[in-house]
Amino acid sequence: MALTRRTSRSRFTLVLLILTSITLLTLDARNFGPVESVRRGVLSVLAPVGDAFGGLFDPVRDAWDGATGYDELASENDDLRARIAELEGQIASGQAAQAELDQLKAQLDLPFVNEIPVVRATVTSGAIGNFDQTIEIDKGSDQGIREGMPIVSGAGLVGEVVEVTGGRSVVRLVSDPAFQAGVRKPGTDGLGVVRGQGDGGRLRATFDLSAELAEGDLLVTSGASRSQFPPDVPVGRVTSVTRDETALETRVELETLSSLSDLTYVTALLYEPTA
Amino acid sequence: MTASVYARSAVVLLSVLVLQRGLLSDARIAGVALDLLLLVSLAAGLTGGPDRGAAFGFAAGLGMDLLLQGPLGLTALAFCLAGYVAGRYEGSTVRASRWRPVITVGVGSAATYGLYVVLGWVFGQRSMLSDRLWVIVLVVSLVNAIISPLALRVMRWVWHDPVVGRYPAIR
Repeated sequence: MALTRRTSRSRFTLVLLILTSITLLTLDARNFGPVESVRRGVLSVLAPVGDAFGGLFDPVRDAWDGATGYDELASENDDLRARIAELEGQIASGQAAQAELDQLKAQLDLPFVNEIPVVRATVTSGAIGNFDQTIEIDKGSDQGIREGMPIVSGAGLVGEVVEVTGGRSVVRLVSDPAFQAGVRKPGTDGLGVVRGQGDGGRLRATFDLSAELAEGDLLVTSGASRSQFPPDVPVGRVTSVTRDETALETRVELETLSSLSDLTYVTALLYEPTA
Repeated sequence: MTASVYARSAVVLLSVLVLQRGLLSDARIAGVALDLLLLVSLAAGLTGGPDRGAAFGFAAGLGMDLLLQGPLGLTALAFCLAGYVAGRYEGSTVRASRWRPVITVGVGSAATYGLYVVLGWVFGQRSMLSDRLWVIVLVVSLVNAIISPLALRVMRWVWHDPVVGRYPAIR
């Protein structure tokens, strides 16, 4: 008798909790205001606590990185040395090209990344879950960051701000399937849309059939009217191109230029889309 | 449940949340973040029964949902079911074995991630079903199974009620 009562009570608890979960899912799907406020509250309360404890965990994290990534670090070190040598050679020719480019920019009067006010930020936390494509940075609305603003690294586009508190922002990475941006090949007019694939630095873009793209091409943000991203921010390099005659589109696989898994410093572009 | 059980539950839940955010988001194995919140949800069910397992799993999942940008309530739903089923399974077994809870946590972790992906699919999170899913499931299941004895011990401490311990008949 007691066992039956206990079983029915457990079932009642389970049903109650399932209904609560479904209610929360429904409210969240409808962008119910208080749900967002609670999320922001948790972010602003837990972030400083997490940082404080994160500092305590640093030695553990470093030891872990050293133990699991020594070979990778050594190889990365070699690659970086080679890259420095290569870049030193490029600087000289780059300066002349930059001067020419600056003149062109001034004549065309277009908005460019290096004219947009920026906020440098440190990545305080990577993706917390295994299906989550976000990072947290240590700057927020107090520094002028707002939802939707682009986040870049030295190599190119990293993501967009999806949640902001006073001193903290959550950034959705370009690899998130919910992320999308208008892109084009520099020097061409054909526009495409790039989306994350939820898997490392792999992205996919679609263009119309007339797009002339090849493996190795660089794609940059289109900066089309009302786009939340300024033009010419590098997004990724094309790794494969497939023309689908049936769907009348060109599908392009690309790889981000920066590694999204080990970001330390990023830059928020305080960019206001043009109407 | 007594006030001290609630207090211990809150302490464990908050500690695991901080640990998950502060350390485990960066310390990854093969790019996979360990899932301590799932581990304690399963351990809560195995040590406290379906009722406590469901409630603790719900709270742990909700905590995780608040840290993520996915649909709020998705992890809570998956972990609540995980805690409940773990408690039901433990209650239905007759013979005690040292390895059974460890294997249950491993298999339970894999099953919960499977359920999580299916629920995610239903609620529009189609990208969860990726090529990396099996790596994620394998790493999370294995690590959770390995460290489950520690989690089970912690959850036994959480549910420990001195009065019920002395007089089991009043439970």
